[in-house]
Amino acid sequence: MGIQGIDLSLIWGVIIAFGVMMYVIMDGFDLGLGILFPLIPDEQERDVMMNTVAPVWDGNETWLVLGGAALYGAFPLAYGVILEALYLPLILMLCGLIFRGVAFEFRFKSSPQKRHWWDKAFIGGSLLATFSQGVVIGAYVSGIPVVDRQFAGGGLDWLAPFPLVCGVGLVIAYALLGSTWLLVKTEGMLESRMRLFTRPLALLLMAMVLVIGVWTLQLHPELATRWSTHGHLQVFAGLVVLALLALFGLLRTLRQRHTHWPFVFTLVLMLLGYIGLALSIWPNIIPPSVSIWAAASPPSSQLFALIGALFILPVILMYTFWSYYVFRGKVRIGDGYH
Amino acid sequence: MLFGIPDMQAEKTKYALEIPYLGSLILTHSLDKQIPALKSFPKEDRPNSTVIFWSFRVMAGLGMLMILVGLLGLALRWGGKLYQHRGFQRLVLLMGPSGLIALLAGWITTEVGRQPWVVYGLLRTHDAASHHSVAQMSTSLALFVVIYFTVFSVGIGYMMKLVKKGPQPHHEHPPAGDELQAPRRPISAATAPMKEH
Repeated sequence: MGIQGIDLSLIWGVIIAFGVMMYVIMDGFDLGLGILFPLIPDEQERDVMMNTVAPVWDGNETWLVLGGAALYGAFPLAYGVILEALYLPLILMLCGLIFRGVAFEFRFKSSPQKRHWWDKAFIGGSLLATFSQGVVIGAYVSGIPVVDRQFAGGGLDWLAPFPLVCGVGLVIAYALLGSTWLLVKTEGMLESRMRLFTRPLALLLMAMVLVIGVWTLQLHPELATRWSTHGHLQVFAGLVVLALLALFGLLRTLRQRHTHWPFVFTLVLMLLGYIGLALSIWPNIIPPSVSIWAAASPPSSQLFALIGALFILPVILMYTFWSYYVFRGKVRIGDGYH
Repeated sequence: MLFGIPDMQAEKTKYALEIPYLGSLILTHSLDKQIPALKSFPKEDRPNSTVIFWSFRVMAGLGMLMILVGLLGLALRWGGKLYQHRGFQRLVLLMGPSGLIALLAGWITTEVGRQPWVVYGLLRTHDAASHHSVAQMSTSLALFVVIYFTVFSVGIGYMMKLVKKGPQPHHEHPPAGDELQAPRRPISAATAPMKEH
């Protein structure tokens, strides 16, 4: 599995999990803006919303590319099986990302009469991409049948109630990330309106998490046994307590009109959910049957790619941090109108 | 060999115009070593040579033409006639899409040229295909064609508008304080609004 006792598959598993988490959190809030767009009819406020993420949204999507490429290099079996199983929702996600990406450029160039088309592309693209991602997560958690290192399911297996509900759940989660992001980045009417939306979104998300959680345990009784064994139970209880504390903190700081804390608590909520998900699947990379070691590429490939990754990851982290730092602060109407 | 009409059935190139030794010099760095001939590969291991023959020449020919236009421009600049020579300007305008066309031709050359292999000697393209139904694959392909045509036609329309407008004098105004932090999009340098259709 490794070279001189180093478990390369484990390291790669952690890198990919980290990359996907960064993606979910960061592209989450800019996709969320597209989901919130229909609730904000004012053109100028829409400009502000887009401008809050204009310098960073495409950088956020770097993590998606990183996750995909790392999966290809380190776990080719998982790449082959998962991408084949989820072919259509992933294609739909890409279509959505294309439309919203183009909308960023063309919306500001179009004539006022035509602008609504790009608004629609932004809204539709964001919704489609988010919903598809939720479906992908749902179908992934439901399990992907593998026989003889080949995908053994049907091309439309993902079209089931559970993945579709997960799609709706993710739309709400990203909307919450988006609304709390706007609390940080905007002021005036837009900020107060976001303050109004955040509370119901947070409560709705908690309800969805509850539904999806119970449903998951019903679909996979083995998970219930896993979580209730000694050691796991404490971790699980810890995650739930922390999530409740984060929800409480979110609602409280929201009431106290804090600008940054609601976003931080939302990030914590997403992180806790993600950790819970990762621990439920671990050590599988294709649930329910293929572990990260069974799906690994040869150690030489993993090591070769790892050397590159160890150089490039700090660079990505640094420029990501830098771009957020440079464009810190509130965005006002008329700002960055170029 | 510079030019000719390839004939896949007869396995030869008609009306060939050749420079002896050049290919050998480029590929093997010597005048007398042999380049393995296409005919030495079994027929089922060969790509479609007609397509590659032409796509490669389109790419390389356009590349040569670009260099030539560059040198011509330099000569005119030195002669002080760059801004007056209408013929040259028309030529440069016509060369506008050459980069894109050469790029596509080069891409076709590599992708068609490696057929029938995905991994050379190990995996056939045929065996690498996913098990999805024809319906799924064609739906997604059609989807991409539609999306790209939509997005590209808008983009090309905008580019044409910028071309028609011509170069605009650049007004330098240093951003004041806060404006330094204002986000800019990649095409923010273009000031024209999109066409009112």
